[in-house]
Amino acid sequence: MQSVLEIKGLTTHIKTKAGTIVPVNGVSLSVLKGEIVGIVGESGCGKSMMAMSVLQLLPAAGKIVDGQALFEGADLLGMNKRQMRSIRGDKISMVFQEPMSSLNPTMKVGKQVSESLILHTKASRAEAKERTVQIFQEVGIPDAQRRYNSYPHQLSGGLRQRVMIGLALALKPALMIADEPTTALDVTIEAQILKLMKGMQAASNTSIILITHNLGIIAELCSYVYVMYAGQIMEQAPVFELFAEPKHPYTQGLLKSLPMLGEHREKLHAIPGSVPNLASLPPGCSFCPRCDIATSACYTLKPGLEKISEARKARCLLYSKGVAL
Amino acid sequence: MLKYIVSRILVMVPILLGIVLAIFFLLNVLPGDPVSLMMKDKIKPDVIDNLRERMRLNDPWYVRFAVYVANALKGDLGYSYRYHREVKDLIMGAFPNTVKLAFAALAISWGIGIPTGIIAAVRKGKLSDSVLMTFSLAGVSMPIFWIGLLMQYIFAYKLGALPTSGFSTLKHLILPAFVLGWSSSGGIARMVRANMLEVMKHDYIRTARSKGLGETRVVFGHALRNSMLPVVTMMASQVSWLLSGAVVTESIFAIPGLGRISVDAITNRDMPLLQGTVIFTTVLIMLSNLIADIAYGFLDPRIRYQ
Repeated sequence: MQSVLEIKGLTTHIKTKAGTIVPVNGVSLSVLKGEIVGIVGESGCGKSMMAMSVLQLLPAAGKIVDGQALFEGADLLGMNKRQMRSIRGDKISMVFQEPMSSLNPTMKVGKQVSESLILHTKASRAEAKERTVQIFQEVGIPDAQRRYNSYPHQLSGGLRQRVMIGLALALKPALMIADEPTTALDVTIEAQILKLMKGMQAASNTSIILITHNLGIIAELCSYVYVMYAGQIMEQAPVFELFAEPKHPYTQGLLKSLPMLGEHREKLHAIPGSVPNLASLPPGCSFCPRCDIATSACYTLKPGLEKISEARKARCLLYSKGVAL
Repeated sequence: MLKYIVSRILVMVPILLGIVLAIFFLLNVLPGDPVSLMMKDKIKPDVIDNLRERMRLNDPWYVRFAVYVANALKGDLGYSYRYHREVKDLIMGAFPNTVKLAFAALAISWGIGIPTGIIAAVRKGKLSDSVLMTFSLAGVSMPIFWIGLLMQYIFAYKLGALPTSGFSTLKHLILPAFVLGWSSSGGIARMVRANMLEVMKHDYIRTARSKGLGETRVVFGHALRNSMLPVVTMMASQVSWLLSGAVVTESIFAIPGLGRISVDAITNRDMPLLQGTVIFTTVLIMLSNLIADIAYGFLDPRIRYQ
């Protein structure tokens, strides 16, 4: 099948006081038409920065230093500002984590959506408003006509995220990047929003990159998963294979730390240590200080991302010879 | 919104009464007798007594306070010892000059300050940012009397383009308004810049960009309004400060405004005039704060719908 987005060797640097860090380090991934792809990882592993790099919405200190992001065949990273603006919102849209802070507090929510319609479709104000109300109905906002004139603080978290999703899908983009879209929401609302996203995706055949730290959401929505750690892809696999048989020790740790119903455990498993500081990564495998099965070789050899079966890859010395430092 | 405005106005009444009382009390404990100030020597004691009686100086303070408030409500603020005119007339004579100067200065201050702040924020770290911020800093740092004298020297004395002082024509307005405007534009510019930079870090700016909006639309459509909220407070205090009379500027340029009569009232111990100007100023400050609150409500729906 044809891929919508093909990222190859994307590397992004960010200048900080502690020196240059590399939150996205040679990431390659591909998203097929109509597919939902998950990117999972702990906070600070670079998954958001990867999304921001694709849309070139990096903070001022950030810089893409290498790689390609082929969107429908054209490299996004080579586009000028104007070309990029015509892609954003229209062809590739984004949903952010915090719906409250992601909506302008002093602008009516309806206007925030119709603004995008006017920009990309040259619709008149009235047409855009009509279409926005229609979109609000589609994303399940009750009393859409009246809600058009609401301000973000007047809506609940769930409704706000519905507005964000309406905004993201308003122009039926080829790709939507959802960055932790339900993290700030209650569990019940989370289920509704996920259902909505899945429904909308099916209706418009939009591809989705779903960024989350929640493996449950991945299992529910995605067909293919990338596990990210310290700026790199550690493992990638079709979702069923990953859950059935995780290959990388990090993925295994993540899955073991999920509570399971009907299973008695004294203590939930936890991966020891914490997310590494990107400014001072260990030499060798970046996960080895936290890895249960690390050997002395893990500290001196950098594992490559090796193909281990038809649709799977993993970055671990179990499967790769590694490169000497 | 209407309820919000009405409640704001109602709160003003007790505050105003309290302030009148405080002023009344302060001026009463000051040493010095207005009658002896007014009278030359060798005046018959019964004339003095008569005058004290007429001015109600023999009554206890609370009676005088009540009479004062009652008269003030009718628009009678008393009689100036020094100018031998109604305080109300003196204030009303000076106020239009102050208003003209204040609004001209505000137009210059905001006209320079707001765009300067926006441009500096958008071009943060670039040369234009440094140049604009230095210009603002100069305005804030140089004392008004110094800028005033400098401007008089350059434009009036050297170039002969503008009059040094007085307040009869529009030309007279230019120098003092520019001096006041420039010196207060710096604060506005720095505040707009700081707020703008803060707002530009918010998530909704990223959302606006992710829609494909251009930088101009992001700045003017999304960032500006949110950046202006704290600036409005500063603008309101600027309005009340300028309306209560720019004492130094009015002195340098010999403008017969509120600042001048307040200073005159103090130096001459002209109690009714002083009381009158202070109360008048208080009302002005409260009104400009009210306008700021209303403006706040318009800018920020979170306040409007509380």
